[in-house]
Amino acid sequence: MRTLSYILLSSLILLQPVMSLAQQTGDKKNVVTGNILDFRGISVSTDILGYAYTLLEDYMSGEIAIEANLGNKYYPVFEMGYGTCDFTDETFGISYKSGAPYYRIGLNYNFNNKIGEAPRNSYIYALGRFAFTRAKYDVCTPPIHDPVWGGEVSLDLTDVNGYYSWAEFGVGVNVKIWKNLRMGWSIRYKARLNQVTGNNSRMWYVPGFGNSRHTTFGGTYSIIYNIPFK
Amino acid sequence: MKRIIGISFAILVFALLTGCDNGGDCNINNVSYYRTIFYNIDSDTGKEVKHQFPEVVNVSLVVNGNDSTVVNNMTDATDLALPMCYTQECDTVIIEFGNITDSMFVKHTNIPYFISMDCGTGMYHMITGVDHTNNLIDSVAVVYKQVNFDSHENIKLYIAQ
Repeated sequence: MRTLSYILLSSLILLQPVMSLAQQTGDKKNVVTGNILDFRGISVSTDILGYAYTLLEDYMSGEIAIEANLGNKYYPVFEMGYGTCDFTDETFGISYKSGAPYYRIGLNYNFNNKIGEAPRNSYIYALGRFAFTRAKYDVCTPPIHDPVWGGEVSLDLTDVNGYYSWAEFGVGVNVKIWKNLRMGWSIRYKARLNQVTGNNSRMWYVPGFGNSRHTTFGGTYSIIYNIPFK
Repeated sequence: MKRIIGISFAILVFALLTGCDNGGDCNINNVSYYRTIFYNIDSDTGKEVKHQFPEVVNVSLVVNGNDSTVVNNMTDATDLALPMCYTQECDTVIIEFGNITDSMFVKHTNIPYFISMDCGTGMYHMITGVDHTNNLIDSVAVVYKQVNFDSHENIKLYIAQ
């Protein structure tokens, strides 16, 4: 059922900007001069998909991003957010609680524009990110039973320090909605680079990444405001 | 337009087909075992070679006076994979090689571990020392202290010539 919800939600999110793009037939290519260091403005955005996770999962994240526009082609990006998780597993009776900021830095590459070309109403881009978080978490588990000799050992951990870094690669779409207001989505393949584990545990929920795995997928659906400089 | 739909479709297919790992070291029963491999020294070359017992081997574990037979009438034995006690820090391993009996005293710490929500919890160990009797055992060497769900060789047990 949860998988079906993901697919339906993903389909709605993916179709909206594609349909918007389909309606755009008159993007004019107003070619101007420019180079890779041609600063055109900045934009700020927030990811609303992170808030929507509370409908499907037991964690939530809020995120903002600042993006510079270089020649309408390259977009250096800094993203920061805060992710929280408060989850109790019914199978094992394990509780996990965490909340921490996370940071990403990277670049978007506009497929549709050449350097210096006038901005389009919509474009597809590739993205690359380096991301990391330092998080404290609490874990409470039922006693661990010795299957050979019997006896139990308890495991209750509080304020365990964890570090997690990962890389993200993906593609996205950015669409003009009205004046300087834009919307867009991105799909991201995430791969763990490094993690620091505790003596008795490892991070299970990683803010900005999701559940701890070697690789996973994620996405954003953002509202963007452009502040043009030229 | 076709390009956009194509890219979106390709990403969806890629995401669905590649899947993801569960991120943990899930084990069938979440019990870690330490692995002991038998060796002897080749008298000609002086190098260690793996030893295979032609006779029957029985192994018992004793913790706090409680005896638990974990290997019964094993033939062609080359190695042992044994569990450790969760609540004590010294396990006695009684090994019967035919009609000869030796004891190995394995000292260890216990590390209760939260693996993940998918895998639950497990118990890891760290071997801190090994003593033994010398009826058939010549010597013992700890080569990997961590005892977890990996299949590392932990102890080399040298059989007397």
